[in-house]
Amino acid sequence: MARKSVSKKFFEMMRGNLLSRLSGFLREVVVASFFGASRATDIFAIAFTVPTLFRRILGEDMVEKAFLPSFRQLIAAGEREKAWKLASKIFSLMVISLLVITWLLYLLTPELIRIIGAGLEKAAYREAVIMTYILLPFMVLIGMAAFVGGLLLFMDATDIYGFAPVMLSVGVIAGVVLLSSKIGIYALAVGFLLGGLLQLLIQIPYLVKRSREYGGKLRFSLVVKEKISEINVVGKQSGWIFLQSVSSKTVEIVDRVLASYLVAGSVAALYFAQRLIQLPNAILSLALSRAYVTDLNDYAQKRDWSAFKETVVNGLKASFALMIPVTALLVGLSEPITVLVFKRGAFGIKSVEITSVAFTYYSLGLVGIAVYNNYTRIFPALNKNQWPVLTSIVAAVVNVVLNWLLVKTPLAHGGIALASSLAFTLNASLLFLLLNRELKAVGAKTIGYADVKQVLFPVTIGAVITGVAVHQFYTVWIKLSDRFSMKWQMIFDWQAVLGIGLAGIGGLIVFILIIGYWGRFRSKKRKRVLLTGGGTGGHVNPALAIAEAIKEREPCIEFLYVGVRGKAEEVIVTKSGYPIKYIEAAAFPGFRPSIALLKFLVSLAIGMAKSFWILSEYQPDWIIGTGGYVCAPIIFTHTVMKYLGMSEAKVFIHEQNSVPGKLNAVVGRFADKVFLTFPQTLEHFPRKGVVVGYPVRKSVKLIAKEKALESLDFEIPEGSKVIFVFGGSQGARTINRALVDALGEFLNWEKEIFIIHGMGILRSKEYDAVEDTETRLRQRYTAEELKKIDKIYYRKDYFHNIAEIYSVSDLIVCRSGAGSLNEISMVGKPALIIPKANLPGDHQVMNARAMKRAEAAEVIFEDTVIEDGIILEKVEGAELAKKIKELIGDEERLRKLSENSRKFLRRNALERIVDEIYGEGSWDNGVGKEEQPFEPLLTNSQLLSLLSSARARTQSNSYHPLDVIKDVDDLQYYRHRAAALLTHPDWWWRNIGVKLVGLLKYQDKIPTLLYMLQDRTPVNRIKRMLGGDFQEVGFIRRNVLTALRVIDIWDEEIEKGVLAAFDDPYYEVVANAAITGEHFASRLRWPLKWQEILIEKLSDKHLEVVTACAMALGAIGMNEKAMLSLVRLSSRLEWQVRDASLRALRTLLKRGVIEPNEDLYSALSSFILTSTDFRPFFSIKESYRMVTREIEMLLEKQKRDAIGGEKKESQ
Amino acid sequence: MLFKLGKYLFLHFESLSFLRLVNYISFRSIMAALTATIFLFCFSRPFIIYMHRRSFLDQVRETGISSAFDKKGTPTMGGILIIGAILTSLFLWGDWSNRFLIFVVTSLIGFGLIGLLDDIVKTTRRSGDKGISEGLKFLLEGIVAIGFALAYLSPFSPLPSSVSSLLYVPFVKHPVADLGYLYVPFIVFFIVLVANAVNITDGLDGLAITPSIFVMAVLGVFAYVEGNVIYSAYLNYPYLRGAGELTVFGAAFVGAGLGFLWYNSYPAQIFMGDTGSLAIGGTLASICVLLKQEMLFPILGGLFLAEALTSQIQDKIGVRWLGRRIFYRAPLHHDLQYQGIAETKVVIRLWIVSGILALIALATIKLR
Repeated sequence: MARKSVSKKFFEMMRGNLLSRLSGFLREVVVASFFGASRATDIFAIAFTVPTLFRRILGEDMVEKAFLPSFRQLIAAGEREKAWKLASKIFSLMVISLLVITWLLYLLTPELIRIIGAGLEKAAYREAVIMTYILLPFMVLIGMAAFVGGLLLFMDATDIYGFAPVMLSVGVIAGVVLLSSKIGIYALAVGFLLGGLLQLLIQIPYLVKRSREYGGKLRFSLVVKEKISEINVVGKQSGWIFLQSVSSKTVEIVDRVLASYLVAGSVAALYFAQRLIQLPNAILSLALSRAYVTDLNDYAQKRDWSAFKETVVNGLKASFALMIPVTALLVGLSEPITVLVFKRGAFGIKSVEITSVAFTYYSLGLVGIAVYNNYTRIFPALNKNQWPVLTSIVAAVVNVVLNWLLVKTPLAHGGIALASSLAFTLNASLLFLLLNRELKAVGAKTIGYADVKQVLFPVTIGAVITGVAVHQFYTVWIKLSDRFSMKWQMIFDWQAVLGIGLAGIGGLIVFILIIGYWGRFRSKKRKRVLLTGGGTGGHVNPALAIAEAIKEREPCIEFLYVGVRGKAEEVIVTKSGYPIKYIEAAAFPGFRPSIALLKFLVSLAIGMAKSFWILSEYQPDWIIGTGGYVCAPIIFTHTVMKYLGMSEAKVFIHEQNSVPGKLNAVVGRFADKVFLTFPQTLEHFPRKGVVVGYPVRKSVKLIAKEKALESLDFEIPEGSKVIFVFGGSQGARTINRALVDALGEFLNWEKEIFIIHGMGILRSKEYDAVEDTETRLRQRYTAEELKKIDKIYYRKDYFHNIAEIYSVSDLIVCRSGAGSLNEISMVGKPALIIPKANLPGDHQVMNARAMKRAEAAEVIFEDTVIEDGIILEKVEGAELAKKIKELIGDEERLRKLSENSRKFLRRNALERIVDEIYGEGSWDNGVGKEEQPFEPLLTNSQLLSLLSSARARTQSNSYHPLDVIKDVDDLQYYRHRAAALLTHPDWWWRNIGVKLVGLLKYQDKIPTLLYMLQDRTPVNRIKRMLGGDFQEVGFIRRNVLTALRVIDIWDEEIEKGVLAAFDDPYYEVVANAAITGEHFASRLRWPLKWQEILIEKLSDKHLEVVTACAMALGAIGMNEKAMLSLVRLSSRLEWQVRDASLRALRTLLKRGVIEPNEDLYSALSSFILTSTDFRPFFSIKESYRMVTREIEMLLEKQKRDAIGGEKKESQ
Repeated sequence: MLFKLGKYLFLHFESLSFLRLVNYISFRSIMAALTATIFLFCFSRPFIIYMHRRSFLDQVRETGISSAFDKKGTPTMGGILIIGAILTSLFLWGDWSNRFLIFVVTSLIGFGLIGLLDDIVKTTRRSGDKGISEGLKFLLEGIVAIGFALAYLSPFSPLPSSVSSLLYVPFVKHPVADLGYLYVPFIVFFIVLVANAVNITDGLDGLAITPSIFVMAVLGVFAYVEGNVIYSAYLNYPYLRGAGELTVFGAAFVGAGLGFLWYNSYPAQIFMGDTGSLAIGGTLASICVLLKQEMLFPILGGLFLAEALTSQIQDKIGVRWLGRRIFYRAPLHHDLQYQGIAETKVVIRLWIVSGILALIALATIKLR
């Protein structure tokens, strides 16, 4: 199972919360602008306390924590009926108790408000009571909505679960906007009722639909015949939750009671400030905690306490690194932020003042909240639910006491906010201590200051300085900008927006500088090397090989590997014992705007932030990157840091492939040296490139055959040729399947041949190497055949002793990654390589081509086909078998290949690399190697323009792609690549594929082209409405016909296809069908049928079709009928039609199909010869052309004479 | 300059009182038109020869229509002549303290420079397709248009702030909406759209210039009406003080356009290039905005819009998205040519269409 990276989870969580949080936030903004922080909003905040208290207890918390787990268990156990009965019962109980509580509250309201709003004046008190009366039913509505929402979440209706709370805000905003002018602050209460109703109603249709799918129904009934034991469990859980909620709500009530004694607006100020603080809290810290703790359950169950602890520490570090700077920024900018968000309408300067004070003190608790959120999720994993509850109760008590003390200080309501921040921090600290106790109890190491000091120390200092800087910055800005104060303040306070923006950016820069330089002041004892690169083993192994080589020279050197989680490096590096850290990185998808590009940018940004951290902490002396997109964030970040003087590491890149990937080409610019495997690559890195070769693992070397045979754990019959087939460490589907298919050809070869097969360790959902191979074997061969195959065939997922296998082989079949090729070359074995197509820069093909040119290997290209609707790269088994037989039969050729293969490798790569790194010897780039003549492969669009201009230049019948491409192998590859385009999901590329297949004269693909011509899969409705028709769009179908003309092959199938194209709804296709008919006129099988269709199409409404058909009729027409229908066009409106008809008649006469006669002669006079068009004739341009042509000819002649003269002289 | 001089003279010298004429917009307009035409007659020939020597020649785009081939090698960037003529004429006859004039001239020069850049890049790269990229072009146009729009809504606007953000619609007496700051994106969209529409229309000899003359003539009438206290009150238009200066500008433009058509008519000796077409488009659009006649443009400049729409529908919806042609060819004039109508005929027919549209638009001055 592929694990999601933490940052990915983080973003998913953020998105889930974001919509409802933002809408809630917008709601508060609207409320603030209508009512401000005043007595009116104080009253509302007080009145709202009562319903929310019971809503929490009987609503969300109970559903999520108490009810849903039992429900889930029942559903999972298959007891659907029971589950739904439980749901109905709980639901009914809840509704009834809500109703009863509401009724009780109606009786108690006056007393309650007297307690909660103790500080209110008399008039305000009365208003608060009325307000509470209006708000009480909201409790019932929202309780039901929360229950239904919880059920929906369980039934995977996440979208509506996220969206329903938005309806609440919609209701509130509607109520406030529409009614506030009439009933004042009561409009808010009415709005909440409306919103609650909306939230409930919008969920009901989904509930009905979904619950039907889950085989149940939510009923309202109190009578349940059988007793349900789970109900007790639910009840017990609710008890705990009740306790916790009551304790936290009590604090809230105390807050409000105390605040109500203060200046008018204090309660509301606290309320708004709390809303404001919830935004960063919800988005960042909740998401962060959920992202980090999901794996904890696994670790706890496996009792892998060190991993457990590491995850917890990472969560802590992330919380600190994120929340401390945020706190600093919020404190520094608390006033402008409040202005920005709330200041409009009734929310004036006074409101801003008191709200921003509360906001400042709430901000101080952010770190505590983040840690608290983390820890509350840790304890369930340890089955210690009670601790968080107990600590919250303790914290609540402390909070109340602190409230009492602090509210009397000049802080006033700020003291209340500070008290709750302190309480949260206390809560977090208590949990921290308790967790350490638990860890100690299971015998794990406890978490201490040392674990987090790397983060805590610099971040805190940085954040404090930044906070102060930002605050100063903003103060200065306000003074400055007041002078040119702008008039444009409508919806937003531009002054604040700009101020916050500028201060924020400035603050960020200050923060980064502090963190960046902090690392430079730490003392360093040993030399440090940072290794990076990965994605596949081909990138990781060279890095490790270089590390080994450096270690040999300087044993006490520190290494750190930086890679991406879930890729090859996670396995290989961990196994080899180097410490590894993970960052985010993604492959570059190209500049075209797309979601992939956005993802790339996001992951690059996160990757660079993490790299920044790693680099400033680790302070490496050398950075060694071995390619793959993994290097990019590290090296980009390092470049920036280097310019700022934060890092002075040297950067070395090793490029394994002959064509650097897009990212590597950029990365190489920032490196001090770029080590290259192939001399051809020098042109990409003319100044920094050093050709060193490929650092092959030390363990790969040729062993004496006898010794190698002994160490194998399987028998190879004596005298057989051994063939080793593998597709890299992960395994290649093409090769595995082709080999299985090919085995059938070797059934009776048990004396001559033995095949060793490394299937690959890839076990993903798309392709499981071993599983797939075994199934295919069983499907293809009978038991008897399998028995025979077993004699010549040995397979395994992965060979750790690859050197031995290489040593015993006579032929190797593999991919052409730089790693494999260099290993083969190291052992000097002949190879048959199957390059993987469509990789960036076609580097495998380039590698293969270089090998082939050096006569060191044979190449087979893979084809792209569609089998059962799935696009597959494929090599025919028979083709593979044929090539193998051919090679092993030719002793001389094998020897030659082997010899050249050995020469192919640039030896001593590791020594060269180490020398270069230490700046000692520099090696001549050309030593010991003959340069290969090199020209890069063309991209598809280059190829297209080259070929089409070549075709335009030559006569259509004498055109052949080989005249342009020259190399047969390249042509073969281009053909395969063009064919692969035919299966591209984007029609744009399929269209290019069609054109290329035509221009490359790839006649094997004619059936595919014909299929595309007749494919009638429709496009979506929007496109159809605008005039689109099928998936194979009009251009493709038109170009298929053009391609058929270029390929210039005609048979029955093609003719049928082209004839069918006359029914196409797109006019250009029909016209091109006619043109195709004209082109192949002499080879048609059913000319009469053609004539019939063409005559019918002469009445088409499209000018282009009629013209083309008329011309085609001239070339194909068989009898008088053609002539008659052509003459009938004599009075058509468009002159081109008449023109075409006249030309066609001429062709018919020339071909002798019709005899010249008087009738025809007189019929011609009926043609309307006036025309709306004419061809202009510019005589001066004509004269110019004549003169120049003459001069050209004369010059040509002079040249020829001159050459002739030289020849004579030399004779 | 002559305006200022005349004013000075007749105020101070009794005997020169006939110079009072310069106070009349009608007189200055006629003089401006004549000056612009004469400017073109004087400078076109040397300019054409100069451009030929410096080989600023038109680069043909592959359109698949045969007659386009013979146009290769015609000097381009005639827009410089048009802009030069307008500026010279206004230098003599314009009132440079008038903000309407400043706004229009700024957008004329701004868009002219963008077009000039595109033309220069095209000629140096020797290809009709490789001007500056579409994105960069839109970006530059957007910057100019945003600047214009912001200035238009700022206190520097020539329009009173009570009027500037109102939206008028033809055939309706009163403003239909007050767009406030939403007016900025609206103006930007409108200006960029019109500038490019004229650019696209400029594909056949004389096709862009004559319809622009029609449009500008009608706008000149509107400017005269809206800048006149009595007429504007009578016809129920907002009175825009100083808008009459745009009539002078319009006259200079018409004069320059006629002079240019002299050389640009089929077969053309010079093309206006992007320099001309973008400048003309940007100017027409800005004048529409300044006179509150944006919504009249779909009628007045219907031809330009049709050209722009056919081109965009064909390219963006048809070729890029659906994978088929929706029209035989695009824009409109190429489609007509493809159907077998000769270039001269296409041009003259489209002139007629644009003339009719201009008349309809003129009629809305009273039909409200």
